[in-house]
Amino acid sequence: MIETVAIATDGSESVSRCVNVALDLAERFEADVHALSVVDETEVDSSPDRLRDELRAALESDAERAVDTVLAATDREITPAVIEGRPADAIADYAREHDVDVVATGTRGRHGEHRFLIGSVAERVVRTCPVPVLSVRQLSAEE
Amino acid sequence: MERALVVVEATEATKNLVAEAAELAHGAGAELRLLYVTSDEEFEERQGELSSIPGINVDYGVAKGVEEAEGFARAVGEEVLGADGEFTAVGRIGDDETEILAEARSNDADHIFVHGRQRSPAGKAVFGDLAQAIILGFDGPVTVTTS
Repeated sequence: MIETVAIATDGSESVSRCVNVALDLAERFEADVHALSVVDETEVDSSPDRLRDELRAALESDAERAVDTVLAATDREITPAVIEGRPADAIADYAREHDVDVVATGTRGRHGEHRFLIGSVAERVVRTCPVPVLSVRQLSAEE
Repeated sequence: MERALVVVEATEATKNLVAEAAELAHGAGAELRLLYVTSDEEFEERQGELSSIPGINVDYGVAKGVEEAEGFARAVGEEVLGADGEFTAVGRIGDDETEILAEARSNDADHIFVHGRQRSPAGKAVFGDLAQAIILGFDGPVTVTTS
């Protein structure tokens, strides 16, 4: 039974195909929806001390905005979550802790340097997530 | 989701993939299509095996090969979903990525289900990765299982 769907977003796309597909699926199964965004702790940790708090605040605000975008996309109740950690690991942990049945994530288009890999975070999520990952490719402008 | 395409492989993990796909597809009221792709090498090997049986004239052409691939997909489907499981089985011969995307196109699939092997990025660069190739090559959603 699909009871919980988690949408993992980094805000790089606004209401995107991934969010729509995930919400549609959740609707079908009357599943609970979580929207999560991860503040990359390695980015925070590798910044100079004096900038660290500022950077963390900026990344948190980006993550909150990403999550808010998903909340705004529907009338349904969505559990928001902004967490700090290593993105793919944090998503996998969240999936385990919250009994998530499917994690939905968007991936970049196939143009540019990611021609042969789907983007490092998406690639790691797909590889390490303990539950099925629904991946929706963002179509580039030319498609 | 209206037409789900599941990539059946000759592995244990395929059964979990089919089960997950069936749950999602049936819940969404979608048709379920199970595809098995026999590689050119497998096909030629099989042809060679059969033609080397003395005294027996076996005509093992592409049609037969496709039929066998379809039979395999059906067998997996029946094992996971039961004899009266709702699905269509289909077989193809050739390069898996090419045939999967071709099948998705010709059948207008709107969601592909595939198992993702646990390869590192370096491993993927060297050996290629089917799940990733499908994600990059297919316009619609792709659900990848890992277990």
